[in-house]
Amino acid sequence: MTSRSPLPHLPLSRLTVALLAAGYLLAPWRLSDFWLSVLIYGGIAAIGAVGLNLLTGYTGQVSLGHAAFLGAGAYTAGYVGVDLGWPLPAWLVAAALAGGALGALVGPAALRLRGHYLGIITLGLVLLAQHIFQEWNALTGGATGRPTTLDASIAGVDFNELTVLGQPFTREQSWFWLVWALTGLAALAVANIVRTRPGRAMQAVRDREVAAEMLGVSVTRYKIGAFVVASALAAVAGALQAGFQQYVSPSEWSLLLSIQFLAMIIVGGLGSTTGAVLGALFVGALPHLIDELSAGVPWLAGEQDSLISVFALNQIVFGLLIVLFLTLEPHGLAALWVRLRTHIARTPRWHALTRRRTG
Amino acid sequence: MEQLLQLLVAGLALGARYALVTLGFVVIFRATGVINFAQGSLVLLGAYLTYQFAGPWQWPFLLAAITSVIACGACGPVIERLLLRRMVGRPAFAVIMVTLGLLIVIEQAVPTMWGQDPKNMGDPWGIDTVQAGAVTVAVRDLWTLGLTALAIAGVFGFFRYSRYGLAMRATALDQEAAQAQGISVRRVVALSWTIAGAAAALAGITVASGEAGVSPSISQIALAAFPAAILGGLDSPYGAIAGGLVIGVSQTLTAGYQPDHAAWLGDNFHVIMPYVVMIAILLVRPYGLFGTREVERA
Amino acid sequence: MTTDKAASTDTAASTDKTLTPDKAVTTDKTVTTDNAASKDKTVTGDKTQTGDKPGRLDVSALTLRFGGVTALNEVSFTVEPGELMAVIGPNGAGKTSLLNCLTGVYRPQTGSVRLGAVELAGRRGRAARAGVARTFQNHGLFTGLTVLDNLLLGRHRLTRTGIVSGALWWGRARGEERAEREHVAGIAEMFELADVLHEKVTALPYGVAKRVEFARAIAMEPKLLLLDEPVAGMGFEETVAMAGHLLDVRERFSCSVVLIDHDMRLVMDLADRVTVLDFGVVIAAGTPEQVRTDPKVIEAYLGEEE
Repeated sequence: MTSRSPLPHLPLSRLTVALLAAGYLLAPWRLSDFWLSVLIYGGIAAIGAVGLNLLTGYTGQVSLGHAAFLGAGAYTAGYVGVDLGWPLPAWLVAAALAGGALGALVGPAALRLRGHYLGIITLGLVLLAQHIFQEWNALTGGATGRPTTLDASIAGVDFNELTVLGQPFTREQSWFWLVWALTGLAALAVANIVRTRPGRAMQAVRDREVAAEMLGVSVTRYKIGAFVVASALAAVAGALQAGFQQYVSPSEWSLLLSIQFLAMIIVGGLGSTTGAVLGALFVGALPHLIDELSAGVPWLAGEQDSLISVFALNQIVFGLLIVLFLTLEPHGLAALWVRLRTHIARTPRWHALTRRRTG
Repeated sequence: MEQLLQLLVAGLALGARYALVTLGFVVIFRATGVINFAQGSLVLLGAYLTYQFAGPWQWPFLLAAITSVIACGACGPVIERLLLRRMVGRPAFAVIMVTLGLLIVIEQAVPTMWGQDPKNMGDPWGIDTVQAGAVTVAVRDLWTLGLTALAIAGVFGFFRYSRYGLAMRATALDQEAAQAQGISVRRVVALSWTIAGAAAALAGITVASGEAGVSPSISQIALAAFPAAILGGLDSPYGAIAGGLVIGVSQTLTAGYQPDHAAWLGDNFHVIMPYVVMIAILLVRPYGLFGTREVERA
Repeated sequence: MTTDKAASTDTAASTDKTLTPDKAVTTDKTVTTDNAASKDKTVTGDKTQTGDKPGRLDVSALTLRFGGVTALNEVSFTVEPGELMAVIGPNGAGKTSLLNCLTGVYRPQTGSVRLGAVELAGRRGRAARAGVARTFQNHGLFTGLTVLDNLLLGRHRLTRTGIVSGALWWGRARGEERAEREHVAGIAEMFELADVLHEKVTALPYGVAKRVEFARAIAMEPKLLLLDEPVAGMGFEETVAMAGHLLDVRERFSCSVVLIDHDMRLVMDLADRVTVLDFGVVIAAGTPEQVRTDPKVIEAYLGEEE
């Protein structure tokens, strides 16, 4: 019985883990470089999304400032990886530390301000950060941006030119392995926090702050802690994005990016780490899906006489998704998935099918 | 000195536009506890509708402006009815996101309908300037100030003297008690959204009829109006006006002096000045200049 | 701060459920009740000799105002270690305000709340650290979490896993998690909650939720337990069961209890002493028998019946 199980399990069955592992290993052989890069961006976004989900979904703190931390991570990585020329572990860790430190600086705002107020303050953070990114020429290259051709080698393995047993891999193939390994680690770390003492404390703060304090939960520690973890992960995501793109400019770290991250955790389902990953993939892949689908539609093709630009269509679909998910399916893809699964399990035909197979 | 006065006047005119948007935030927040991040999209809609009426359709400007104010006023309650009413009791974050989602949709839908390139609404106010001593004031700015003052006086008068105004104030104080008194909270909420929509449209018209013209970027005005609302205190209509003016003036002063005196802050620092002012004030007073303490706990 | 150290070692000792030395004192029920009407508090013999007695709750001259309304006016009483003090009073008498002052949620304008040597008034996180557990009137459970998680949160103060070790699922995190889950399962057993351990608390009937909250408070291994209307809205059977749990807990853990209730029936059977509040003022204090026959109490309650 589950009630007897002494330890909390991750919400993934062994079968799922095996399938994921197989997908991880095999995908680079089966997919084109284009779709691999879509997945790489999805994986990078997922790292930021699981962090934001810890802050917003589990600790209940609104943040429109996520983009600022991504940017901070990207420029830290640029400085450490290009200007100093240090290898991958160094710029990743430096980005995480810088992001965490900034989070610790901003986090205390959450102690004094709630809900809408915190939302607007963090909105201000994005605008302030973007201004700094534009003006700090020495670090960021100003408004036009800077190259971030980071050294992507760790222990002698270079992910920019990966060669295993004499076989060379494309940059997309190698980065897929690199990014998704890190995504897996990030998701696992957050899932671990959530199922142990600190995660429970964060959820207690989210649900009832006073009651949490009465149990000895330090609201200060967990609110700021959640900010630190979330911004450290955002900075790692920013660093990876910089590394993969090899060039970053300030306009990337915009309010829209923050909103996209919030959309990921909403679409995925607030307070679900799996959901955050799914949401990141979905939101990341959406523009490309729209691109593919709209290629066949004449008035969408992006030509002069088209009714609507692909970019505008993207944004509108994206905005509608946020609105529709929130008003119609607040628990997101994660809930849809669970419902689909129970529905399938209850369908007699499927039942019979599985029984025949096992029997 | 002349420059200072000049900047102050320009700042007040700019602040008046912010005040209109901010007033919309406050009216909705008082009635429902929601900040409508989509307010900027109504500013945009108001401006483009006026352009459509006055430009291609050749209506008289005044008629065009009034019609689009009414149209945006009508949009408010529709948004509330279709989206926000479903969100009652949900966390602040979710509500913010719904209005943000709406903002994205409208911000893209408008240029899709009318195109990305700026439109010219003509010069409904004339391009004259008035000389007052050493200070030159654009007639357009005077119109903006006058119209804003009129609109704000109208809203305040409505709050104070009409039956619904009283109901709105009662609802802002205590929704349950108001309901017990036989006040229809739904109607009050709808009314708040109407006022907010109309005020946003008016703000849009005053921005768009100026030198900037009608362009998709005018919804940006709402970005500066957020700090104005926070500054004044989200639940205080007087604060909305004061916050708007403070932000407007501080922005023009920054634009006027910062490039010479604090160049290290970088170009376009005035754009983020509202947020700098807001953060500075919030560090001292977390519930704004005129807000009540309860708001902080909400 | 030697007294603080003493308190913390005390906490450590209580983790392994040995009876605290305070137990010996519980038999001493002859302590004089403060005559609350007189503002100069009678000082008990103990206090003059030893100063702050460990484990004793000493509330003195507590005054709390909201704007012009005085919610509590010069409220004083003491609760000896192991004692069950009931605070009763009609609706709006200030009972919940009193609990909020005792736990630092409200900051009283004047007066002090001391548990042993620790001042609790106006300091939010301190109550829990000093070994105070409380329940809320309409239960203070975390609605997004399961019964198990809520109970584990009761163990928060007694456990150590931090964000980093939790994230790594390494070292202390794993062992502590396992041990705590077993421990909490035992508590759930005791409160007949084993069947609902994995349910979300929103799915529970009201009475069960109240029981979960009580169990969570007990999981904290408190020295002082503050219960805000633990049987409000419960039927007869549930009330009896809850009273049974309360007796059980007192016997096993020997904590002091402040029980707030609107209703006199439960209180009269369980309490060692009773303090009666009306409009924020202590109008009577003493043993249940003394209070029951006090004309002021009768008047206060009669006034409410109308």
